[in-house]
Amino acid sequence: MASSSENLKEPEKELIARLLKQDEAAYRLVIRQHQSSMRALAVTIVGNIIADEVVQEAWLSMLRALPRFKMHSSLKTWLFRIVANEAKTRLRREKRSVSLEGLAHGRGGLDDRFSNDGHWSHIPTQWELDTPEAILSKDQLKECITVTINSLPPLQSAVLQLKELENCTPGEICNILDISASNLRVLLHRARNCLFETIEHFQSTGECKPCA
Amino acid sequence: MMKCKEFSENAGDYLSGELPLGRRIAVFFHVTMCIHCRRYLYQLKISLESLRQLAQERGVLDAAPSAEEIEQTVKILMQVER
Repeated sequence: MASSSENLKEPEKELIARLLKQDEAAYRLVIRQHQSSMRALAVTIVGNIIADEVVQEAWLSMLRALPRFKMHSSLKTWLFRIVANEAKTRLRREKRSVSLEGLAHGRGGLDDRFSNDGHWSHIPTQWELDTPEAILSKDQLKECITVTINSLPPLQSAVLQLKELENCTPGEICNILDISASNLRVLLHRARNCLFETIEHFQSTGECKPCA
Repeated sequence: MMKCKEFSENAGDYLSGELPLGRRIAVFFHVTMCIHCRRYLYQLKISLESLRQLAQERGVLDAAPSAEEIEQTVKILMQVER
């Protein structure tokens, strides 16, 4: 029976072996390769101000957990899981009542755009800015997109980052964030459509109204 | 027969190629027949592409940490090891 660690590429297995031997050059390489993405993920959950602290804690956790890493996932996925756990723990400590998922709130998911028979009640209208280049040619709209993404509930922001920017598979995202596949589908649906509705609103009115 | 609401719930996964074959076919047939959903799919697609391009433009993921940041982290980790 094939070992799960055979799924890991040789260079990554060698890198992990070097890390276990406390090879400083290996640590530098891993930090250079993954810190930006880890920080970006931390920002989605805890925001910009304490993201760096969370990433430092994650590196320390990685160090402690490294001897037990069974290579069931890639190093990147494993690091993401560690930083997500640190971020969620920190968030719960800082804001006890925060909703990680934002699912209790009504917004997102286009729920109010359809009639009971499943057809559009509020149809999508033609956009003047109908390519990514056109959309990004408007500084105000770029800023609006940024504000919207930063306003998403933490897990919605995290799944959007991991799926659309990091290209993680659904299985990897569920592993990283410790959520079910059905929960992931709902979170992603809401996050994607929040982005869509924000751009749509700007196209109709010229105003930024983040959906989150 | 897939309705528009169900289509919207599958559109994102359709774009990222995550749908199983049967549902992918149902989405495909619906979008060929429904102009509103065709427009929505395209607009969702360019919304997500805009997000990716904006992230790239801002160097959100690619910006490597500075040499100083790397050394700081390595120093902390090496101290823990000892």
